[in-house]
Amino acid sequence: MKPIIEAEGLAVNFRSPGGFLGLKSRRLAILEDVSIKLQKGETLGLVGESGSGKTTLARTLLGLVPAARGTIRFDGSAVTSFAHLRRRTAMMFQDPVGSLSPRLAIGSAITEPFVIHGVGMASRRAAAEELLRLVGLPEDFITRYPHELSGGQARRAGVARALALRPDLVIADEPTAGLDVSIQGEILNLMTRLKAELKLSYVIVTHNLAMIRHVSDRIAIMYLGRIVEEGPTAEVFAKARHPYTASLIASEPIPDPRRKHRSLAITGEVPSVQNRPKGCEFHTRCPHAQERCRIEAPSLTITGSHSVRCHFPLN
Amino acid sequence: MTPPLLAIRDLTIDYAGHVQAVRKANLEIRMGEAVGLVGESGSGKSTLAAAIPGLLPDSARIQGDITFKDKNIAGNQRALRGDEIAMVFQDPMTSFNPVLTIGEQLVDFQSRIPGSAREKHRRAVAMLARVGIPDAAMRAESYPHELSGGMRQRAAIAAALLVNPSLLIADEPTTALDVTMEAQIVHLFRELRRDYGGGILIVTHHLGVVAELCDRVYVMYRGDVVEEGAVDDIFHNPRHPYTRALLACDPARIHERTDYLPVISDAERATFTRASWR
Repeated sequence: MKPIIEAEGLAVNFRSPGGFLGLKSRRLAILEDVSIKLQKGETLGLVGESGSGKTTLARTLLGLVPAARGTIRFDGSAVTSFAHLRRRTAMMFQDPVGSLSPRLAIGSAITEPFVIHGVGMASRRAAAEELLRLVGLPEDFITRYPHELSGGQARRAGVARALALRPDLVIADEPTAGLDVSIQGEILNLMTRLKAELKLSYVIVTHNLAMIRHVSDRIAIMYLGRIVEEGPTAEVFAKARHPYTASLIASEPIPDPRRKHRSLAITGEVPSVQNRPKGCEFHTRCPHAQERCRIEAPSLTITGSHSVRCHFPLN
Repeated sequence: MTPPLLAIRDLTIDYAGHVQAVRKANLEIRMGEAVGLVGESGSGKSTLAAAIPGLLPDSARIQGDITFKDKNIAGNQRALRGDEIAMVFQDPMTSFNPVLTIGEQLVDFQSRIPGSAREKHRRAVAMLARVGIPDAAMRAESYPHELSGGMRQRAAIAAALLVNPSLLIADEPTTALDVTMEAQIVHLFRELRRDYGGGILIVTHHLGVVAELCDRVYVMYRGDVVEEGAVDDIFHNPRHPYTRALLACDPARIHERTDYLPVISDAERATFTRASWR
């Protein structure tokens, strides 16, 4: 198998606000030493809390955020210009209604990629109808406007637009956020079906662990801009090695009143990137933290196909 | 048996006479009880909850009875709001005034309670500490935007509890939060239940939150309360087909990895409405 996308040692910095009246603006490390690899036909889940850098990583992979360091290889060759990638990659944005122009009918919105990339189509109407059929929306949606769509329908329109140019890689940012569970299933099933039909690979960015467990082959857990654990999904869920992964999994409320939590798996909050803890970034919230964790940052240890960034991994 | 704290009988809410958001709903909450109200978007759960403290827009027409502490309060709920009935919302950023500090606002919320400003400030800080805000005295000087989402939600819960309400209504209190923050807010509610003797109504679409926190639960579907019961019965022995379908499609309840997740088909949905039609 060949990887469709591979990133090595990615780093992204943002400038903190400042640089005014003698206040120095600071460089904030948003991503640090991030490496990922996605095999063709597979789904990688990027999981983390707000501020973990998961969306930034997704955007960096498509060149929407410039990387300060690191390399990205797409389908075997190093990426030097993202313009060449645009037709072969697509992004499904988090807010489906917000990412569709309110003044553009759905038919125009989903066929816009053809126009932007100068790709010929038999007729715009036929192309739109075909895309709507592909995602299971009625053809008369061509003339509808985004505000007339339900959350699930807008999501489907987002899928249609992402797939317009038949990309190889789709990056979906929180594809199920804000949807009811039954509608979540519909969108994920649609994505799973199209993945097989169109031979797609997915990166799914999410904080929904219950969902990503079912739809991903591998997951990467992120904390403060680093990947702290990465491995085959089933293995990570069964035998989490990083204490953060373990506490994330244990934090999920269980929809069964006979299995109520009695205690709290994790306290405190994610520290700010402006105030990055020294040593291991997770030590301030880690139940197993020791002296070494406060001083020395752990490096990534790889066992088989499962890697973890921790001095004292579990299991 | 003592009368319930809140009893809603045959409550119908419609907007401008054509859309029925809630149809003949019945709901009861007793002192010391945590009740869940679940349903998908558009089920009417938030409308029903908002009707209790009288927060619906003027275009809403309400029929039926809302009895609170044995008095019918329908049409007169405002007198109880922020006194006997307090509410916590999904996004606390919108419930706080952005230009006043948290402490100033928590003092204002106590306007109907006697005491000096200083005393009220002390109570506000004590309440912030009780809901688990570290350095409460310092945090009271913060503006809402300076707090994280989880901290703001804690502050909103503190604001609600300050007036010592008999009924606390929380509308999607954890929806805007990350998993670890959600677990912490769920834990906070669980801890608060030890010494808060009033009734709690939790409106949510998250079945896990209900299972963790509630004693009883009401399930709504397209404006109807379709099933009601003890959480253990609803989660382990659901009787309405909609409740069964809703539980079946929660991915957190599916233990084996599955490529295709269960959904509720339109054909299935048609049977729910027929079944629940009068």
